[in-house]
Amino acid sequence: MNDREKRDEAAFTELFHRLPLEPTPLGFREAVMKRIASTRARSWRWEWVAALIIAVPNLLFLLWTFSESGDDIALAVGGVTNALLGVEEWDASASVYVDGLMLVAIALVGLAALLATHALLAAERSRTLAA
Amino acid sequence: MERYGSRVYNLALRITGDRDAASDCAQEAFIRAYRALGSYDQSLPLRPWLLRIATNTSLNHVQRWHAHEHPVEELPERAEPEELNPEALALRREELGEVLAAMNALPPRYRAALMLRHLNELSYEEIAQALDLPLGTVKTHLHRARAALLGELEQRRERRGS
Repeated sequence: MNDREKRDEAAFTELFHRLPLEPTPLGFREAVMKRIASTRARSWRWEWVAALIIAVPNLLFLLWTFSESGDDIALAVGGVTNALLGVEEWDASASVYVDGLMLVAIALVGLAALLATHALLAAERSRTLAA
Repeated sequence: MERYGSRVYNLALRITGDRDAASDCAQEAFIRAYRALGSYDQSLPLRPWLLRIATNTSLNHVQRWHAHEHPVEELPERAEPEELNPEALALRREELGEVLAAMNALPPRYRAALMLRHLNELSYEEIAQALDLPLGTVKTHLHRARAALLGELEQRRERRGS
Protein backbone atom coordinates (compact mmCIF):
# COMPACT_ATOMS: atom_id res chain seq x y z
CA MET A 1 0.00 0.00 0.00
CA ASN A 2 1.49 3.33 -1.01
CA ASP A 3 1.35 6.59 0.94
CA ARG A 4 -1.60 7.92 -0.98
CA GLU A 5 -3.63 4.78 -0.36
CA LYS A 6 -2.74 4.89 3.32
CA ARG A 7 -3.88 8.52 3.46
CA ASP A 8 -7.14 7.65 1.73
CA GLU A 9 -7.72 4.76 4.10
CA ALA A 10 -7.12 6.98 7.11
CA ALA A 11 -9.42 9.66 5.74
CA PHE A 12 -12.24 7.18 5.20
CA THR A 13 -11.70 5.67 8.63
CA GLU A 14 -11.93 9.11 10.19
CA LEU A 15 -15.04 9.87 8.19
CA PHE A 16 -16.73 6.64 9.25
CA HIS A 17 -15.88 7.26 12.86
CA ARG A 18 -17.79 10.50 12.56
CA LEU A 19 -20.92 8.72 11.41
CA PRO A 20 -23.42 8.63 14.26
CA LEU A 21 -23.80 5.19 15.82
CA GLU A 22 -27.41 4.42 16.55
CA PRO A 23 -28.24 2.85 19.90
CA THR A 24 -29.77 -0.61 19.86
CA PRO A 25 -33.58 -0.52 19.87
CA LEU A 26 -35.45 -0.61 23.16
CA GLY A 27 -35.82 -4.14 24.46
CA PHE A 28 -33.07 -5.44 22.16
CA ARG A 29 -31.02 -7.02 24.92
CA GLU A 30 -34.07 -8.55 26.58
CA ALA A 31 -35.24 -10.01 23.25
CA VAL A 32 -31.83 -11.61 22.65
CA MET A 33 -31.62 -12.96 26.19
CA LYS A 34 -35.13 -14.39 25.92
CA ARG A 35 -34.26 -16.19 22.67
CA ILE A 36 -30.96 -17.41 24.13
CA ALA A 37 -32.74 -18.70 27.22
CA SER A 38 -35.20 -20.66 25.09
CA THR A 39 -32.36 -22.02 22.91
CA ARG A 40 -30.39 -22.93 26.01
CA ALA A 41 -33.32 -24.71 27.60
CA ARG A 42 -34.04 -26.61 24.38
CA SER A 43 -30.47 -27.83 23.94
CA TRP A 44 -30.13 -29.04 27.50
CA ARG A 45 -33.59 -30.48 27.85
CA TRP A 46 -32.85 -33.44 25.56
CA GLU A 47 -29.69 -34.28 27.52
CA TRP A 48 -31.59 -34.31 30.78
CA VAL A 49 -34.40 -36.35 29.22
CA ALA A 50 -31.91 -38.85 27.75
CA ALA A 51 -30.07 -39.09 31.07
CA LEU A 52 -33.33 -39.77 32.90
CA ILE A 53 -34.53 -42.33 30.34
CA ILE A 54 -31.24 -44.18 30.64
CA ALA A 55 -30.74 -43.82 34.38
CA VAL A 56 -34.17 -44.56 35.84
CA PRO A 57 -34.76 -48.15 34.60
CA ASN A 58 -31.16 -49.11 35.28
CA LEU A 59 -31.21 -47.65 38.77
CA LEU A 60 -34.47 -49.50 39.41
CA PHE A 61 -32.87 -52.71 38.18
CA LEU A 62 -29.85 -52.18 40.42
CA LEU A 63 -32.09 -51.43 43.41
CA TRP A 64 -34.11 -54.56 42.72
CA THR A 65 -30.91 -56.60 42.43
CA PHE A 66 -29.65 -55.26 45.75
CA SER A 67 -32.98 -55.88 47.42
CA GLU A 68 -33.11 -59.44 46.09
CA SER A 69 -29.51 -60.43 46.74
CA GLY A 70 -28.34 -57.67 49.06
CA ASP A 71 -27.34 -60.09 51.79
CA ASP A 72 -25.23 -62.18 49.43
CA ILE A 73 -23.58 -59.08 48.00
CA ALA A 74 -22.89 -57.66 51.47
CA LEU A 75 -21.44 -60.99 52.56
CA ALA A 76 -19.24 -61.19 49.51
CA VAL A 77 -18.03 -57.58 49.81
CA GLY A 78 -17.36 -58.14 53.51
CA GLY A 79 -15.40 -61.31 52.66
CA VAL A 80 -13.29 -59.49 50.08
CA THR A 81 -12.66 -56.56 52.45
CA ASN A 82 -11.62 -58.86 55.27
CA ALA A 83 -9.36 -60.83 52.97
CA LEU A 84 -7.74 -57.63 51.74
CA LEU A 85 -7.23 -56.42 55.31
CA GLY A 86 -5.79 -59.81 56.23
CA VAL A 87 -8.47 -60.50 58.84
CA GLU A 88 -9.58 -63.66 57.06
CA GLU A 89 -8.14 -66.06 54.52
CA TRP A 90 -9.11 -65.85 50.88
CA ASP A 91 -11.86 -68.39 50.51
CA ALA A 92 -15.12 -68.93 48.68
CA SER A 93 -16.88 -66.19 50.65
CA ALA A 94 -14.27 -63.65 49.54
CA SER A 95 -15.57 -63.34 45.99
CA VAL A 96 -18.15 -61.14 44.36
CA TYR A 97 -20.26 -62.53 41.57
CA VAL A 98 -21.37 -59.81 39.15
CA ASP A 99 -23.51 -60.84 36.21
CA GLY A 100 -23.39 -59.21 32.80
CA LEU A 101 -26.74 -57.50 33.19
CA MET A 102 -25.57 -55.75 36.33
CA LEU A 103 -22.41 -54.57 34.60
CA VAL A 104 -24.45 -53.17 31.72
CA ALA A 105 -26.78 -51.42 34.17
CA ILE A 106 -23.84 -49.84 36.03
CA ALA A 107 -22.28 -48.72 32.73
CA LEU A 108 -25.56 -47.16 31.59
CA VAL A 109 -25.99 -45.31 34.88
CA GLY A 110 -22.45 -43.98 34.36
CA LEU A 111 -23.40 -42.84 30.86
CA ALA A 112 -26.47 -41.06 32.20
CA ALA A 113 -24.29 -39.36 34.82
CA LEU A 114 -21.93 -38.19 32.06
CA LEU A 115 -24.81 -36.72 30.06
CA ALA A 116 -26.15 -34.92 33.10
CA THR A 117 -22.68 -33.58 33.95
CA HIS A 118 -22.24 -32.35 30.39
CA ALA A 119 -25.59 -30.56 30.53
CA LEU A 120 -24.59 -28.90 33.80
CA LEU A 121 -21.14 -27.84 32.53
CA ALA A 122 -22.51 -26.58 29.21
CA ALA A 123 -25.12 -24.54 31.07
CA GLU A 124 -22.47 -22.99 33.28
CA ARG A 125 -20.11 -22.28 30.35
CA SER A 126 -22.85 -20.67 28.30
CA ARG A 127 -23.93 -18.54 31.24
CA THR A 128 -20.35 -17.30 31.67
CA LEU A 129 -19.77 -16.58 27.99
CA ALA A 130 -23.16 -15.01 27.40
CA ALA A 131 -22.56 -12.65 30.29
CA MET B 1 -23.60 -8.21 24.22
CA GLU B 2 -23.16 -5.06 26.27
CA ARG B 3 -19.83 -4.43 24.57
CA TYR B 4 -20.65 -5.37 20.99
CA GLY B 5 -24.41 -4.84 20.77
CA SER B 6 -24.18 -1.38 19.26
CA ARG B 7 -21.43 -2.35 16.80
CA VAL B 8 -23.31 -5.39 15.59
CA TYR B 9 -26.60 -3.48 15.31
CA ASN B 10 -25.03 -0.58 13.39
CA LEU B 11 -23.25 -2.95 11.02
CA ALA B 12 -26.55 -4.71 10.32
CA LEU B 13 -28.29 -1.35 9.97
CA ARG B 14 -25.84 -0.11 7.34
CA ILE B 15 -25.98 -3.36 5.38
CA THR B 16 -29.75 -3.80 5.45
CA GLY B 17 -30.66 -0.11 5.49
CA ASP B 18 -33.68 -0.87 7.65
CA ARG B 19 -34.00 -0.56 11.42
CA ASP B 20 -36.41 -3.45 11.94
CA ALA B 21 -34.37 -5.73 9.71
CA ALA B 22 -31.18 -4.63 11.45
CA SER B 23 -32.65 -5.42 14.84
CA ASP B 24 -33.71 -8.87 13.63
CA CYS B 25 -30.33 -9.53 12.00
CA ALA B 26 -28.38 -8.35 15.06
CA GLN B 27 -30.51 -10.55 17.31
CA GLU B 28 -30.03 -13.47 14.95
CA ALA B 29 -26.28 -12.84 14.93
CA PHE B 30 -26.10 -13.06 18.72
CA ILE B 31 -28.22 -16.21 18.76
CA ARG B 32 -26.03 -17.83 16.09
CA ALA B 33 -22.92 -16.78 17.97
CA TYR B 34 -24.35 -18.28 21.12
CA ARG B 35 -25.12 -21.55 19.35
CA ALA B 36 -21.64 -21.65 17.84
CA LEU B 37 -19.85 -20.88 21.12
CA GLY B 38 -18.86 -24.52 21.39
CA SER B 39 -16.85 -24.35 18.16
CA TYR B 40 -15.41 -20.87 18.84
CA ASP B 41 -11.67 -20.82 19.49
CA GLN B 42 -11.36 -18.64 22.59
CA SER B 43 -7.74 -17.82 21.80
CA LEU B 44 -8.96 -15.74 18.83
CA PRO B 45 -10.46 -12.26 19.21
CA LEU B 46 -14.22 -12.26 19.66
CA ARG B 47 -15.06 -9.06 17.76
CA PRO B 48 -14.11 -10.15 14.18
CA TRP B 49 -15.86 -13.46 14.74
CA LEU B 50 -19.02 -11.75 15.92
CA LEU B 51 -18.92 -9.18 13.12
CA ARG B 52 -18.45 -11.97 10.61
CA ILE B 53 -21.63 -13.66 11.83
CA ALA B 54 -23.49 -10.35 11.78
CA THR B 55 -22.28 -9.61 8.26
CA ASN B 56 -23.40 -12.99 6.96
CA THR B 57 -26.77 -12.72 8.66
CA SER B 58 -27.36 -9.24 7.25
CA LEU B 59 -26.20 -10.12 3.74
CA ASN B 60 -28.40 -13.21 3.76
CA HIS B 61 -31.32 -11.06 4.80
CA VAL B 62 -30.66 -8.57 2.01
CA GLN B 63 -30.30 -11.35 -0.55
CA ARG B 64 -33.54 -12.92 0.58
CA TRP B 65 -35.61 -9.76 0.61
CA HIS B 66 -33.90 -7.59 -1.98
CA ALA B 67 -33.07 -10.06 -4.71
CA HIS B 68 -33.64 -7.36 -7.31
CA GLU B 69 -30.53 -5.50 -6.22
CA HIS B 70 -27.56 -5.66 -8.53
CA PRO B 71 -24.93 -8.13 -7.41
CA VAL B 72 -21.51 -6.57 -7.01
CA GLU B 73 -20.07 -8.38 -10.01
CA GLU B 74 -22.56 -6.74 -12.36
CA LEU B 75 -21.76 -3.22 -11.34
CA PRO B 76 -20.03 -1.11 -13.91
CA GLU B 77 -16.58 -0.19 -12.76
CA ARG B 78 -16.48 3.46 -11.92
CA ALA B 79 -13.70 5.66 -13.03
CA GLU B 80 -11.14 6.65 -10.44
CA PRO B 81 -12.55 9.76 -8.76
CA GLU B 82 -10.54 12.89 -9.21
CA GLU B 83 -10.50 13.84 -5.57
CA LEU B 84 -9.82 11.01 -3.21
CA ASN B 85 -7.95 12.81 -0.50
CA PRO B 86 -8.48 13.86 3.11
CA GLU B 87 -9.09 17.48 2.22
CA ALA B 88 -11.93 16.54 -0.09
CA LEU B 89 -13.40 14.28 2.54
CA ALA B 90 -13.00 16.90 5.21
CA LEU B 91 -15.29 19.20 3.24
CA ARG B 92 -17.97 16.56 3.49
CA ARG B 93 -17.79 15.98 7.19
CA GLU B 94 -20.71 18.30 7.70
CA GLU B 95 -22.73 16.19 5.37
CA LEU B 96 -22.75 12.97 7.32
CA GLY B 97 -26.40 12.45 6.56
CA GLU B 98 -25.53 12.60 2.90
CA VAL B 99 -22.80 10.05 3.45
CA LEU B 100 -25.28 7.67 5.06
CA ALA B 101 -27.73 8.18 2.22
CA ALA B 102 -24.97 7.64 -0.33
CA MET B 103 -23.97 4.46 1.49
CA ASN B 104 -27.49 3.11 1.02
CA ALA B 105 -27.11 3.49 -2.72
CA LEU B 106 -24.15 1.11 -2.74
CA PRO B 107 -24.50 -2.66 -3.06
CA PRO B 108 -24.75 -4.49 0.28
CA ARG B 109 -21.34 -6.14 -0.09
CA TYR B 110 -19.69 -2.79 -0.64
CA ARG B 111 -21.47 -1.39 2.39
CA ALA B 112 -20.36 -4.37 4.45
CA ALA B 113 -16.75 -4.06 3.32
CA LEU B 114 -16.68 -0.33 4.07
CA MET B 115 -18.22 -0.75 7.51
CA LEU B 116 -15.93 -3.61 8.46
CA ARG B 117 -12.84 -1.78 7.31
CA HIS B 118 -13.45 1.81 8.26
CA LEU B 119 -15.82 1.67 11.20
CA ASN B 120 -14.78 -1.59 12.83
CA GLU B 121 -11.18 -1.42 11.61
CA LEU B 122 -10.88 -5.07 10.72
CA SER B 123 -7.83 -6.17 8.78
CA TYR B 124 -8.13 -7.17 5.13
CA GLU B 125 -7.70 -10.80 6.16
CA GLU B 126 -10.52 -10.56 8.69
CA ILE B 127 -12.78 -8.90 6.12
CA ALA B 128 -11.92 -11.65 3.62
CA GLN B 129 -13.02 -14.21 6.20
CA ALA B 130 -16.16 -12.27 7.07
CA LEU B 131 -17.24 -11.92 3.45
CA ASP B 132 -15.88 -15.32 2.44
CA LEU B 133 -13.91 -13.77 -0.40
CA PRO B 134 -10.28 -13.98 -1.50
CA LEU B 135 -8.00 -11.28 -0.13
CA GLY B 136 -7.46 -9.71 -3.55
CA THR B 137 -11.20 -9.47 -4.16
CA VAL B 138 -11.65 -7.73 -0.81
CA LYS B 139 -9.05 -5.13 -1.75
CA THR B 140 -10.78 -4.60 -5.09
CA HIS B 141 -14.18 -4.37 -3.40
CA LEU B 142 -12.91 -1.78 -0.95
CA HIS B 143 -11.23 0.23 -3.65
CA ARG B 144 -14.37 0.23 -5.77
CA ALA B 145 -16.61 0.82 -2.76
CA ARG B 146 -14.68 3.94 -1.76
CA ALA B 147 -14.72 5.20 -5.34
CA ALA B 148 -18.43 4.41 -5.64
CA LEU B 149 -19.19 6.21 -2.40
CA LEU B 150 -17.31 9.31 -3.51
CA GLY B 151 -19.01 9.13 -6.90
CA GLU B 152 -22.42 8.85 -5.27
CA LEU B 153 -21.66 11.82 -3.02
CA GLU B 154 -20.53 13.78 -6.03
CA GLN B 155 -23.75 13.03 -7.88
CA ARG B 156 -25.79 14.04 -4.87
CA ARG B 157 -23.87 17.28 -4.57
CA GLU B 158 -24.46 18.04 -8.24
CA ARG B 159 -28.16 17.26 -7.95
CA ARG B 160 -28.41 19.55 -4.96
CA GLY B 161 -26.51 22.27 -6.76
CA SER B 162 -28.67 22.19 -9.88
